Amino acid sequence: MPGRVFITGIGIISAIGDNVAETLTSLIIGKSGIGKNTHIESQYKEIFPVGEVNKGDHELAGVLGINDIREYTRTSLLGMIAAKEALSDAGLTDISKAGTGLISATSVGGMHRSEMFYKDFLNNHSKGRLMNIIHHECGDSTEKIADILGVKDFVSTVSTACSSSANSIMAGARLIKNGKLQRVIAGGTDSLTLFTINGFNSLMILDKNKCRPFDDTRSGLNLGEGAGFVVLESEEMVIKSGKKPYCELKGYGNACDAYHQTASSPEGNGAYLAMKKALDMSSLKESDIDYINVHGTGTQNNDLSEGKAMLRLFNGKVPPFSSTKAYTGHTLGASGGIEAVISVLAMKENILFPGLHFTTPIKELGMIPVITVQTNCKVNHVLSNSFGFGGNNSSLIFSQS
Amino acid sequence: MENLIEELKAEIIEVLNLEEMDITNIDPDEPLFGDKFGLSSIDALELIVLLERKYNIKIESAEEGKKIFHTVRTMADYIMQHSNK
Amino acid sequence: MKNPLSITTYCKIAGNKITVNGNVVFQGQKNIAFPDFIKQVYKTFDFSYAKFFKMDNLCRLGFAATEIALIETGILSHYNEGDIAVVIQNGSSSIDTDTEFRQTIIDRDNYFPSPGLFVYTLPNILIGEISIKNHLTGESTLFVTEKPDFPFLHTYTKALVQTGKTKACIMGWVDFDRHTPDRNDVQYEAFIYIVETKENKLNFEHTKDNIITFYQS
Repeated sequence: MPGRVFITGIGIISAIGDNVAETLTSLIIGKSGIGKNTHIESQYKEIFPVGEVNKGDHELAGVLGINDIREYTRTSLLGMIAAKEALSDAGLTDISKAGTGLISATSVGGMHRSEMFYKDFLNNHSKGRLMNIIHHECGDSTEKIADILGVKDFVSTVSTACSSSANSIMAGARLIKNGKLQRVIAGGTDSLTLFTINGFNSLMILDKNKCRPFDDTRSGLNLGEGAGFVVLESEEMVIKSGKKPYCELKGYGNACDAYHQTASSPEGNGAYLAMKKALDMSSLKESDIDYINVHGTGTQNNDLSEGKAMLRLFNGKVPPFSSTKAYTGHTLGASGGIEAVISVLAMKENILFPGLHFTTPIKELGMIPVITVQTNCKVNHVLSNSFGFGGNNSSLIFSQS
Repeated sequence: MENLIEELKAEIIEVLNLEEMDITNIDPDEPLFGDKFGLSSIDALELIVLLERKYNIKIESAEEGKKIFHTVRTMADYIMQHSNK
Repeated sequence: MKNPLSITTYCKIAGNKITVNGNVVFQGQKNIAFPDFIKQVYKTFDFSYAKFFKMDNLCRLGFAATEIALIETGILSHYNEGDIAVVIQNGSSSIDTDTEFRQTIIDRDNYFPSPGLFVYTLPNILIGEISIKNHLTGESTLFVTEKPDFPFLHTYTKALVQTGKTKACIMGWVDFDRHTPDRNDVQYEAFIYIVETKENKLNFEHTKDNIITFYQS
């Protein structure tokens, strides 16, 4: 019988803070990190707001004590900061004593740097700094994170679009339950790039204003960047160390929508299946869920189909829910990890975070998210959704013992 | 107008990778987004790019595009009306 | 509860050649480019699926290998749509299409980003395409690794089945790497193997050694 898996550490960096403490403050005071893009020279600078991490690459490197940033992409730096925080938060100084793995996730990898190379190279094939492209691959940021944490036993990268880091967490939990590892640092990282700004714009799903998830007037998403990691540990490790974990990863589910490459099925079939699988695995009842951190990108398509799936699963009695993407933007491959950390904070502080910028419920759904910060709430069981292009839908359930 | 329709058919086949079609298969009055061609929302977005790239006509939203791309003929009509550049 | 697992078919596409269970089922001309090769495959195996032509090279490759393997096993009629998982490993992500898409945005004077290309700038869309065609609503994930890691896939499959997450798995390594912007220098490889809990006509024991042997054959 597979054992239980617990979360013992969290780490995060995004538009609303460079660490857990800053993130929590922003969440509580309702401060969105969405604003004008400053780090990328895009023709859309004045048009599409984004959720940008405040620090430039050199400042991020400075936090890590790195002087020469040539070997490090922005995606790597963000991931290293968040993963390091998670490991330190878990009180782990020597990970060599128990089988420890790292599963990271990303969608853009080193794209931010390769774009700099490409521009120069295209104008003149003798130009362009090769150093800017040799760290392009998805696996590079994972390797950098593994190096700084000292993880040697198992390292891998998940790439399933916006559900990537939720899937990292699931894969990590599975390796622990199968006895392959005692501990996995799992999550993901992504940085803003011209590639994604232009790409999402070509799909016409970017909002020129701050996004309004689950609002009837919503008109798209705001892209974001950042990293979020959790430390997963086996029951045996937790008992041995005597530390009090944040919560248990009580259930998870993944399902394919099997409908379209980028759009969700109108009835949210994949979303429903993923949430149901997570709930079934947790042995909780629908009424036990205290809060749902929805995927809630703010697109017409996602919010409607996710809402329908929620109404169906909860028989019309949907628990308090909100999308925190109005705070952070849609951080793509990092979103599952970032929102896992936010879910853990909700439980730790007994706070429900609001869905910012919401005014009017979606006509077909009539669903109203948490509107203002709610403190002193019973938040023992949280469901977190991450739905990716390719119809890859994942849901995680966290429970406080 | 008929020349434009034939030209559009060829462009649509190329841009939307309709490998198994040729211009004789496409009825200019048949709904493009009906069952025959198996087109999706992404194809509608590609047609928006086609209109801008080849005919210099900018369409601001996917909803606006839906009406214009109803059939090859409605596309041709729209191009004729808006192509004064 | 013991769940005996077996590999009931495997398909490999590399070097313009297709083998199923170690036997050559199609040999394309060695010197033709991949897009032409894969179109020949489409016609030869009669996929009859127009959406194939919207897919990028990585998806066409993985889709073809999977479809051929699926025909061989008939697993679609043996299991419910939610009981078939898809787990793929890949090394070069979507670099081929990433490069194509970037061509459409890099020149300010000829700036026409292609949504049809952007959709394929994620390697897991391959799984999406397989699932859409066959209406698979089970679990799926994609791992990016430098080389195929079959011991890991072996463990992962066992974990999925033993925890009751799935009853059959479409597993494999699908990679499409290209080295130059003009698409002449590509390296591609697809190795798909099907793992089942029910007995089928071909039953190899699901072991790490067998998977590696089949991949290398």
